[in-house]
Amino acid sequence: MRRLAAVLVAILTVPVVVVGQTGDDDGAVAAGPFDLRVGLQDGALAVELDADSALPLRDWGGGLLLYAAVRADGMWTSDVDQTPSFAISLRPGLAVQAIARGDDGAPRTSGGWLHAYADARYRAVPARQEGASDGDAPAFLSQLLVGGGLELRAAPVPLWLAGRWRLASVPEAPRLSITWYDVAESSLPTATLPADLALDVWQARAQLELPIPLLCTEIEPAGSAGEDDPFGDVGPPPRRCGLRFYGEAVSTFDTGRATEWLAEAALAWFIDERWAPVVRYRSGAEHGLEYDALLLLGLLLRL
Amino acid sequence: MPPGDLDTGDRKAVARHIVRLRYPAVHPDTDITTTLDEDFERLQLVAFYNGPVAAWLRERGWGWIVLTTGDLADVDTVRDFGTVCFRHLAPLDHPDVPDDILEEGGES
Repeated sequence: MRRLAAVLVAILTVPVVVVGQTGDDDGAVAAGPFDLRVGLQDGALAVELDADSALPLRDWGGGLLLYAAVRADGMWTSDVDQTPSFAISLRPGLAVQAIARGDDGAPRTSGGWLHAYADARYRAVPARQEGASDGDAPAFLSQLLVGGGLELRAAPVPLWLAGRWRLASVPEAPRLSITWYDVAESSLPTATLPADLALDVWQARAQLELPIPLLCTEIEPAGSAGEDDPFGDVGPPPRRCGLRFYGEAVSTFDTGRATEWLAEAALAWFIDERWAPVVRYRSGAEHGLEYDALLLLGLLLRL
Repeated sequence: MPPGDLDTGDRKAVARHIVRLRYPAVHPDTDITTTLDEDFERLQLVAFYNGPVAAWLRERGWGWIVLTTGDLADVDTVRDFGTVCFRHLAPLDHPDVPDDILEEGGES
């Protein structure tokens, strides 16, 4: 269920009304184990490539599955003040899906519900130390981060919406997560680093994608997919509803700093599944970075 | 639902039924890729069908060819997944091996 995050960051931003800084928007693509994001970040061209994979370690049955995941990501930006960044993450995880029994005794599930993981992440990034002047080149920082998180997905909600509104695609499930990270090793003293690079924080995040069933159009009926298709021809085709709302709220907190809040809301109109004009609002702070109230009119691109 | 000789109509009915165990009330042409675009989501789906669903099918005399995440590579819609389920239904050629034999170990 990566698409919600992709949508929220996949904006090739064409700012019309901008108050404050532009943050870290970029474009996104999801294909197989790779995500490619191309976009603008603070006025510079940014390219980010992610890859991830998971292997089952143990299936206890009853909806309890232990797996190992690996994630690698790298980023390049055209900003002359920055150098390529690199990170790799190892995440053993535990996935729990709720399985119920119907009247016929058949098991039923609506998919992933609970996803718990530990995370060991190495990153090599340029970092500006506290007290450095604007003319100083950023120092090179390598860090080992450790942490873990818990994510709950309300998986039945989008399936219920898709069925009730006869949607052409299942939206992302609403998600609620909490994650903790700390620095285990650092090539630079953490006392000299900005707060967002000297992590020891908890972060809670809530995300929501909601299609709006207005001005929907029926898609071309697919008909039978072949002789092995068990459904055959069915009634009216599903409807593509181009108007969608996206919301995200993030709270970052630790014992040494005041709690930070960041809220985002976006309204997108998908002309097709690849392009959508977007109106987006964001306000708050994350990892010590303040975002003034920001209203963007942009263009969302899915390659 | 008798296994019989895998009557195509019965087999399609069973395939539709088990698809609905995971995707209830969703139109067959609805795109479900958002539910399968992370590796662990595919692992969960495979575990659900190879575990509880296969066991339920066995109780009714149907067999289930083990599903792998690779079988989901071309699944975009509920209909695509139904086709996969149809192809993975199989007759039960042999009775289940009794648990006490399984517990005896691998001596041959």
